[in-house]
Amino acid sequence: MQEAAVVPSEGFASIADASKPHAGRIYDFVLGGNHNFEVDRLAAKKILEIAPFFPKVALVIRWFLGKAVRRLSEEGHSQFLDFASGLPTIDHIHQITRPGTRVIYSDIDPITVAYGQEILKDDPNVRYAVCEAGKPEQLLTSPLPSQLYEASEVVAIGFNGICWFLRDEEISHAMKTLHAWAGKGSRLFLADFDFTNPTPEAVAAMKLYGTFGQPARLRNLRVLQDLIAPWKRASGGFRSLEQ
Amino acid sequence: MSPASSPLQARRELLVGLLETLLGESIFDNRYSMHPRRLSTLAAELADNYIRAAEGGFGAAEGGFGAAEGLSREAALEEGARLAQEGLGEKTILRIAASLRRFSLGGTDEDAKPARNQAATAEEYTSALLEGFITAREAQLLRDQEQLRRALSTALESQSQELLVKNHALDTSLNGILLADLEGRVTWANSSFLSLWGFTMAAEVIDRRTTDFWTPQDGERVLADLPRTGGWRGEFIAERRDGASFSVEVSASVVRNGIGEPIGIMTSFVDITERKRLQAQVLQAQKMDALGQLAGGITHDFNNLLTIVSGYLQVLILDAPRDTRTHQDLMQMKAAVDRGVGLTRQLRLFTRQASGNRQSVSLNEVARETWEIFKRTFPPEITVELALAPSLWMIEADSNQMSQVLVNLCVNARDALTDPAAGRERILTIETANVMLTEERIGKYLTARPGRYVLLRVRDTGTGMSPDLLERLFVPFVTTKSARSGTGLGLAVVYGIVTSHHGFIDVQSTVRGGTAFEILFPMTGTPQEARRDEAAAPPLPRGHGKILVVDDEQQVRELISRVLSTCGYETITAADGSDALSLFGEGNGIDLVILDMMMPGMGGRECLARLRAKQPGVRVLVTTGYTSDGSAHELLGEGALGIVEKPLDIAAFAEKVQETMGRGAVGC
Repeated sequence: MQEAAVVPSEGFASIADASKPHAGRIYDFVLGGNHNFEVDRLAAKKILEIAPFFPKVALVIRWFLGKAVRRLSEEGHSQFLDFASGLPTIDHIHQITRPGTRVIYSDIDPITVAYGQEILKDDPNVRYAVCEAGKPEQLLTSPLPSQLYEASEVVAIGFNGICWFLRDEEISHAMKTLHAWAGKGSRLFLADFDFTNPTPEAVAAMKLYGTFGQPARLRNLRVLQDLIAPWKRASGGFRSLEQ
Repeated sequence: MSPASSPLQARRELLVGLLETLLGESIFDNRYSMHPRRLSTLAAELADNYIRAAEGGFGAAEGGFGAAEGLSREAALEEGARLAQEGLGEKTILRIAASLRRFSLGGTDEDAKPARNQAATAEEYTSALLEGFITAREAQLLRDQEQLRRALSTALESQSQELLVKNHALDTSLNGILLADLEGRVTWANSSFLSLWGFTMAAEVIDRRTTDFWTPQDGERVLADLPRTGGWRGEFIAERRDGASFSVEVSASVVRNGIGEPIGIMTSFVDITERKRLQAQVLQAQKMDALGQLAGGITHDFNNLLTIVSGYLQVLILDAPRDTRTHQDLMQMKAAVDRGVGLTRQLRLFTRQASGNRQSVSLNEVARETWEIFKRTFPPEITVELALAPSLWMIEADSNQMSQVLVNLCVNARDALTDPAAGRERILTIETANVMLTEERIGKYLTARPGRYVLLRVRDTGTGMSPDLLERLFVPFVTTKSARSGTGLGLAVVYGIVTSHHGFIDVQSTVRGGTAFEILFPMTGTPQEARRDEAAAPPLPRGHGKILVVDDEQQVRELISRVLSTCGYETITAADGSDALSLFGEGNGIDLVILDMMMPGMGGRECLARLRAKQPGVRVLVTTGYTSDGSAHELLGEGALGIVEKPLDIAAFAEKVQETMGRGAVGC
């Protein structure tokens, strides 16, 4: 399997640092939120100069999350687990599902998690925990899932916009761990980029975006399909944006 | 004109279609939660509200220009606010407003008939809609900003607590920690660092060069190389502020920020003085062990030779007429051999080979008796103090060997006190005490366990010893004395005796500061009557019976056979364990077996077991010139009736044989 191209990062800025742009806050601004600062809006403008389609990309990913969550809710899923959740402010899972749905968000940055816990503190059905997406066992072996979920652990698991931040072995490990833990009937909904034929603008945009977060890895669909085993594609399965 | 047939109602579908198209184009401007169901009903809702306002009136009260179906301004404001709360986008509401106004003017609508009041109504209605929308968005913004402020405060608080915890961890670390800027100027020091180096306040080290506390040589060069090397580690002898020296392990590293830029230098200091001392103790113990094994091997062979020479000499002396020149010459030879025997005995004590005769002993009695005999050799200018603890616990020991320990230590103390370099005060103190050894104190003694011990301390105010000499103190033949005044085995013997009694010895000494030997023996009993008197050696006793002599050394076999024959016994010999077993089993009527412990092939232990298997009541005396850890004594528990040490004391040996022959056969 070809090594994914890696886009370098200049480092991971904490969400509590208002002097530097933060990927999560930029995302919130692009989605139309108010949880951002001037530095984030200026950074978003820089991205737009290189990749004017960037806001749509963010919106599409969030809209995919919305569609998946709505569909899974209608199928009867009432327990959701999300990774690399960022700020739970705009069209996130708990804002789209039916009332009473239990949601666990997670993020690698403890400061983001503290931030998110403050925002969600009035909702008894939602929790936010620290967890690296590439090491889901950090969350799965904690008391939190058993505290919030019913015993069956039939869970809908969100893994959106994360894979380009992880190494191949991290994705593979995460998928295997989640599959082994999740109860029968659980579902995974995942959104990522297919960089089979990336445009220069797309690479440049990812490069710039990566400087506000972690190194970005550009993969094609085939590689990604292999990495998410043993999860099997459901009917309807992988759909391109055009589809 | 009825609403159903009004021009606006007739154009309702057109308006709904326009708004649906608009909403479809603005899909990404709105929250997902509005899509698709809400958006599908929103167009009709907006169209109906506009028509209601345009036809029924729009204004201050419900009904407007008098029609009951009108729309109030408050209703429009509420509608705008609701759309904002539902997640309608800003661009979308503006486009809706523009579309409604155009529709009222006819705009591009083909069948529109503009009405003057409809345009004004549309203007007022959309203005109220926008006002309600903006007000709600502003309120939302303020709420979000407040939430942002609180969440940020919580996040910062969390970060601050994390930093506090980390700071606390650094500050209370047992390792000394120093932080410096990239130029090497100290910016922070934790309390362990201050205490390690003897400072009382951080201000005493802030702004000093961090390299002041690194290796004495090349500190600046190491600092200059650090960004490239990333880290440095070293060990050296450092000097505290008060001049005391200590061993320290230093580890320096570059501290980097989140994007990998160096921002400072952190140095960690660990006091390894104790570790070094323990390492030295381990090495010393290993060295002593190796020496012991070497000496043990030599002693074994030497012992055998002495056994032969001594034994035959004793026989010759018995045969030689008294008051003859020959007798005198033989006595001279025996005296020399006896000195050799004494030397090997001392060496065996060092190598822990001599098992001795152990019994319950009071060190107070040993101290008093030894001192009574020994004090005559002390010059009068030395003051001797006995500080003996009342109710001193008993120990399991050979009293002769305890006496030897005390004598050897006192001899050393006497020599240190009579040295011309000794100070004016010349005091020797012999102390005893009951001691409870705790976990804290064990560190000095590598293999000790907590428990009760009896302490023997011999202190002098003499010349003391240098660290160099202390390191080699217990090594045999290391001596500061002339060859005529000592063998150099004295302290080696002390070491051997102490360790063979499962005790521990420690020495504290400084040049011109005196010396203190501290010995601990495990306590085995409370104060009671101590040792028995030694029985006087009887004259060569006689007896009868058949004795099997088993020894791999031919000369030893011959000597023992000759001695036994002299005493009236019949003897047969075997060179090894297998030979012994076959001779024993041939109906030879063996009354006693003299069995050597150390033989190649089948050793004494195995041979004893097999002899007992053949005849459970067999009488066996074990001979030994080389034991380790009292293994010969263990055979007493396995059926042997006694131990005879080499070189042989002929009289004691004969007595032992007679005594054993007189005992009944030992049953199984």
